[in-house]
Amino acid sequence: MRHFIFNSKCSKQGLKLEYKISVVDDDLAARTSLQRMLAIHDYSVQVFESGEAFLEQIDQQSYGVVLLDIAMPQLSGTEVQQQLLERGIAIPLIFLTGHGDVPTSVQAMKNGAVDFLEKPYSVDVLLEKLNEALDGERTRQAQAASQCLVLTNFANLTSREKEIMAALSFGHAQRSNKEIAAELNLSPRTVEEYRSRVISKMQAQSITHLVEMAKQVGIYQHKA
Amino acid sequence: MTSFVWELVPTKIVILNKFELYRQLSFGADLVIVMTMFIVTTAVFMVLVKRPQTPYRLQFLMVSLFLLSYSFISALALFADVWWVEGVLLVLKVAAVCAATGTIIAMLRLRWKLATVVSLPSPEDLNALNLELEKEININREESAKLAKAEQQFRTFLKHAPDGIVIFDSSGVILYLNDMAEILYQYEHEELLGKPVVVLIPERLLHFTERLDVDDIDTEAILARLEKKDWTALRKDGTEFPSEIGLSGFTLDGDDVVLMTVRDISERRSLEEKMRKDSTQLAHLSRVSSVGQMAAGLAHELNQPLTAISNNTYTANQLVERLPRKEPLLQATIKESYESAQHAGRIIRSLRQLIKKTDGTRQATDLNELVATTVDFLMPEAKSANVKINLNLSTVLPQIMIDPVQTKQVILNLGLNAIEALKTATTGQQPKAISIGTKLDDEHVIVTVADNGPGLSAEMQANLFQPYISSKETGMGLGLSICKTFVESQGGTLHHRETRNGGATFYFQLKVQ
Repeated sequence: MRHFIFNSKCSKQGLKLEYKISVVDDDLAARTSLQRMLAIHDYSVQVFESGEAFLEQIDQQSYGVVLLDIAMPQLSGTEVQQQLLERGIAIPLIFLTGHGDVPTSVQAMKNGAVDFLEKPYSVDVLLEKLNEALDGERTRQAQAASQCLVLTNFANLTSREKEIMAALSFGHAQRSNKEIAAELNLSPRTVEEYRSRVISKMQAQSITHLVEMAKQVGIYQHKA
Repeated sequence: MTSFVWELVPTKIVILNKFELYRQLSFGADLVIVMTMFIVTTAVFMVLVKRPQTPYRLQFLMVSLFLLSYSFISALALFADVWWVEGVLLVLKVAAVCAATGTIIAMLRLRWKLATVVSLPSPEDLNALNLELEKEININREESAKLAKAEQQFRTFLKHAPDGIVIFDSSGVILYLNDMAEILYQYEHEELLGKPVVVLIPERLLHFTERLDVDDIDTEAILARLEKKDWTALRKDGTEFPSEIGLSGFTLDGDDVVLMTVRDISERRSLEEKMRKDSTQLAHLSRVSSVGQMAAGLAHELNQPLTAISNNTYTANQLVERLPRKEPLLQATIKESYESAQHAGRIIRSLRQLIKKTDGTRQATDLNELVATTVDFLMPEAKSANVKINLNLSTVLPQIMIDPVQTKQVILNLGLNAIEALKTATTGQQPKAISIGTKLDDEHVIVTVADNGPGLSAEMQANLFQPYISSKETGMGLGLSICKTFVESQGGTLHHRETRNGGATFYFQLKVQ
């Protein structure tokens, strides 16, 4: 479950954020070579030599993809995955392992890993999976951001405005201002005024957009 | 004759004046005395003749003869009136003189032994002597009885001894064998008495090329060879059995004898043989799976540097491509290196598949039984390190699909590690012990191996399941890494945790399907 953050940070989320690739491997050569390879492909990389070191700095705010070795002393890769699940951090994981036994890989995938590659992996394949994961992340982030934005904006509406919004979006917004005015016992002019205010506050680009947002916040009514 | 006697008597009795009376009475008295003397001496003479054992018989005989002849004289002297009596008297007196002379001579012969004659024991003395003798005889009898009893006891002990006992003399001749020896060698007691002890030893062990002869036997040499504790013994029917021999030489009544104890150790031998075979088999299996797992471990280790090569060659290729000047040869070279690294990876993957195939198959196993047989193998090691093994097996374990060989290897390795750790450790008051337990937990079976040793240092814990890192001097450090591989290849996990009371606990869990 993604947590939604109801504050001004919301608007700062989005496509502009730099995604960090985290490389977690206890083997120095494997770690360094991977870092270098990613660096020349313009990724932003951070390396960790153990699962614990990685978990220490990760929190709900972290975004990116994790490239994770499995066989490590102390905390194994699968255990790190377990920890992330427990903490509710849903960051994409790609496992890179020298072992490659089926049951472990199956379990890792079941627990939500993006992919499971055996060392020495084909670099092309790795980059492909990495990009897929990043795209997925971006889409998710964008959605989350917009969701967050909608909710924040909606929270800023007065109760009257909310009423109007509900009324506006009723029945796919096919009704005229007159009808709405009649229903709400207001003058058409008031309705018109509220309409533009709501649209502006909600940052809606069209009525259809507004209807979508109404759906998102849950005030949409299909039929009376 | 009667008229003669009748004629005599009245002549004497008829005259009855005083003088005559006294004469008559005197005559009567004389008659009685003489008769008595006659009878007594005759009796004594007869007794002496009849009893040849009388001491100084000769002397008594002479005396009695003398007295007898004198009594004859006295008797006859009473009737001296009759004319022929004088003649007879004379003859008798001559005889008496002879007898007197003989008596004197006989008595003279006694003159030195007079003291002895005087000191002959009286009846009372003889009685007392008798009683003493009787007492002594009784005591002797008692002692003999005791001795006999003691001898009987010892014979019984020997007879019933749990080991065979054969006693032979210095020339090897068998003097005694007890019941157990009879049973072991299948001979009757009588059959072996007097035979040389070498009949109980197989010929080939005696190193004789000639036919065996009692005189040829070099008992010293045989005894020297018999000193070996283990020996093969020969039964009556020609079969042999492995035996343990004990020898003891000592002197009995001035003779040198040897006591030999025999014990049939066939059972012990076959057990030793079995254990040796099992041990060899396990070592072989160990080696085989070790090699297999070494290969697997190596494979895994190779993957790391291969990854680095792979990443680096890819990176290098990228960098070369971005150069302003094209370097096709350089690029090709680097690209091929990358391909080779990838190829090597594929080879390793297929190798791993191969190893997995031959590693053994899963089958329904009773885990407790597996633990028990593994403990059997651990016992000798544990015993020699003075470590106790405690078992704590769950009673509700179902059969699980596992690879018994691999799992056994894991438990064995963990157990050996624990014993190894305890060997050089001190546990203070507590006895050194390892405990192996099984339990069921939701969908897993958990096997635990714990020890009360010093536990693992932080450094050791950091590198715990890494291959090629060992805390032992001669260790390759593959044990735990192999264990982990074995467990993980069965879909399980192997862990370590610290015990509350110090010491290390390793446990692994396997899924119950």
